[in-house]
Amino acid sequence: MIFDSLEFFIYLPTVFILYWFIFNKNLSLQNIFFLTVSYIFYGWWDWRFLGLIFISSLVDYFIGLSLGKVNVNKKRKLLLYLSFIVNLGTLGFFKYYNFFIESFVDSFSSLGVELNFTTLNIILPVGISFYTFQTLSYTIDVYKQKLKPTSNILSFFAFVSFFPQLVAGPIERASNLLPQFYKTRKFNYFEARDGMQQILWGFFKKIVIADNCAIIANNIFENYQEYSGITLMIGAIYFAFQIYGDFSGYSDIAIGTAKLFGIKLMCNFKYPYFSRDIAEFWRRWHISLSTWFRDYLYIPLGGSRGSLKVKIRNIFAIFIVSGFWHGANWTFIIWGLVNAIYFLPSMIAGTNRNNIGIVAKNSNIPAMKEIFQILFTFLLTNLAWVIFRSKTVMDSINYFSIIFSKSFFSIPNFPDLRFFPFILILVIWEWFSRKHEHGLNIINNKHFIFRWGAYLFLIILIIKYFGRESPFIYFQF
Amino acid sequence: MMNKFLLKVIKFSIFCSICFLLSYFLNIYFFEFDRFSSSKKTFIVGDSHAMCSLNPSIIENSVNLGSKGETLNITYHKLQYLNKINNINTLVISLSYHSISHNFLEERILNKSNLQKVVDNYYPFLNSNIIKELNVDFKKYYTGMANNILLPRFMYINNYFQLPEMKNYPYLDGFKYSTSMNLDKKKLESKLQGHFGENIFTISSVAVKYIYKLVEFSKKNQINLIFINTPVHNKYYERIPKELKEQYTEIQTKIKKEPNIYFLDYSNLNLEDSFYLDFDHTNNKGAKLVSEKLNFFLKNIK
Repeated sequence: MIFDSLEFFIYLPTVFILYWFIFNKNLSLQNIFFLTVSYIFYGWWDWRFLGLIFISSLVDYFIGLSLGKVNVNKKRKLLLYLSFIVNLGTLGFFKYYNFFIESFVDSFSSLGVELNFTTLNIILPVGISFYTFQTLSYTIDVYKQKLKPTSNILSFFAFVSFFPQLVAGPIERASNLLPQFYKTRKFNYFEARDGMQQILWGFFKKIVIADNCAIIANNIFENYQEYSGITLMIGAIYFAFQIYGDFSGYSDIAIGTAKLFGIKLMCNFKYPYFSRDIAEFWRRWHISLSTWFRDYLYIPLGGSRGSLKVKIRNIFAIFIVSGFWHGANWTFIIWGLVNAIYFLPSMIAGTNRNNIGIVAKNSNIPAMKEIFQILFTFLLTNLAWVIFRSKTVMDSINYFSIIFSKSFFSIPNFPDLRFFPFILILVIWEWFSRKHEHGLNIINNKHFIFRWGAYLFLIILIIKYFGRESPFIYFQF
Repeated sequence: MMNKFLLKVIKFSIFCSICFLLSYFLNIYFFEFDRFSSSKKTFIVGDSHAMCSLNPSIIENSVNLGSKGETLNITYHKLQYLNKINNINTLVISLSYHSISHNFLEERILNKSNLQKVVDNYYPFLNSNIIKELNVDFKKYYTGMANNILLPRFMYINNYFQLPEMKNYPYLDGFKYSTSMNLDKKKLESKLQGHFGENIFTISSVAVKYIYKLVEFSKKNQINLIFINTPVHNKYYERIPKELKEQYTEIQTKIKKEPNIYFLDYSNLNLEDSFYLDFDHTNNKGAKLVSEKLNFFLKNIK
């Protein structure tokens, strides 16, 4: 089931009412209910893949328990590797098998050796990268003794399959989410209201911003040979807003939905396009994944400690793996590589933590320097998005060669300017909301007429553009 | 806590419902669900061929209600709807070779984005029977309907107080005035591909059925019906499958026998390049020529 579908609009209120009025008697009942509705939610897409979540949950549950009992280091390591093999093996098979086969055949073919391997017609299970990383975080934390293994199988299964964030994150840490399944949830009016607001804001970003930008971006990227450099640049900007609206919108809906059930998920986006440098951008974009890689890859590799050579190696490792996580395509790997190159100068100069706080914290208008910094960072991320969005590396090279040609200085062919005001609304609204968790927090203290007017305005726009059911970009990851 | 929350949700839902109901009644009052009315007697309908080639300012007492990519079945339902409040005396319908091509109909009927366009643009006269026939997803239909009926239509309200224009009606595009010319060979290939497919050509049974339905509709309402095959470029004309041309002529011969039904075939006028917008549409210069011919013909039959 996807969020922007009629089914979900019926499913959510039904689950909400059942949860708070019938299955609210005790913890076990709440968790059984969560588990059931989460499996129904996932099975709506394809019930056959429920088995994967079940196996992944079961394996990590028992490995966790065994890690709690075993004290011998060698055995503990073996158990950890077993979890890696099961989880990453499944992920690798479903997501990367064909990519490795094709790359292997292509590399031999370029040496003049023709190999005859056949690829498989594999369906990528939705959300596999997300829940795999979530269960792995549990096993790793238990292995490192940062977290006590759970013996409550219901809580653990509910943690792995919690439906709001099951298919596209945020990738929750066991240390944050799992303990929330140990306690009976109690209804909190303010949390629920905030959740409703966040859901509304998420739908606005997804349906009004992302889906509309997608029409223009898809057209430009699919027919890029026909357009001038400046139009391609506009296409990249539209894609930047598409992917932001799409993914951060999904995260808002997920976080908001969880709040309705008394569960607090981690923040996944903190207004990344207002970042003043690339390091800040990566602290604000897909935070749950960036911090996952930081904690489970970057730091174990040595992080920013050690020689310059080690630091550089670690930066490249984290960005390339992060790129590869997005999909089995060279474009994602190169996208990661480009971001590593962007990141490197500030890391070497030691300025990567210069911009930790919110931009223009005590003012509504940023300083000129900040404006330039924001625009420059946005430009860099935009150029990287071109690689991310292109179907092949060759396409991205061709795309760039048109952008960096004389035609950049021609008059652009604006495909459709109707949706531009929505981007403007988003940017202005988010600018004033940047100190808050989501866009609708800022109207909490306003008169109810203003609040209801704002909600109605967003609902009208959502209904207006609802029904395209354009899939979430991050579902494919 | 929960009661407070539910009460707020209910209150807000009532507020939204009142707003949408208000919008719904305003839409009915101002737009009659977008039913177009005109004092003109000659109605020009059809797809982009009608839009590009038939200039209503040249054709006496006429209005061009063509719409891009419109198939004959949609044209039929549209006319049924329009005929209820308009006094149509003469109907001009573009009937080109591709209009009866199975491949073209397949593309129009099975393509998802085209179906979405059908829901978005033709909602005023869609009903469950048409929806079933068009194979449109009911879920999409109802969301599209909710969108069109319940939401305030600010731009239309604005236009209501001005002269009625075609853009007020989503299912009407009107005459397309164009002075440009683009005879790009790549576009010719993709156009031919979209219209006729690659190797095997078949005639669309849906299109043929609706040609006869249109004939019946005209006879029943005592309307003069003129099917017009608008000019196409030589390079396009030569590539139209032979079998299609033969079947087209066959239909033409059958229909011509009916009283007050006429067929004008201008597809092979052999015009210079400057008359064309692209390989299968005329520009303003071409439209002037075709419209004058049609006007002359209409004067004679009256």
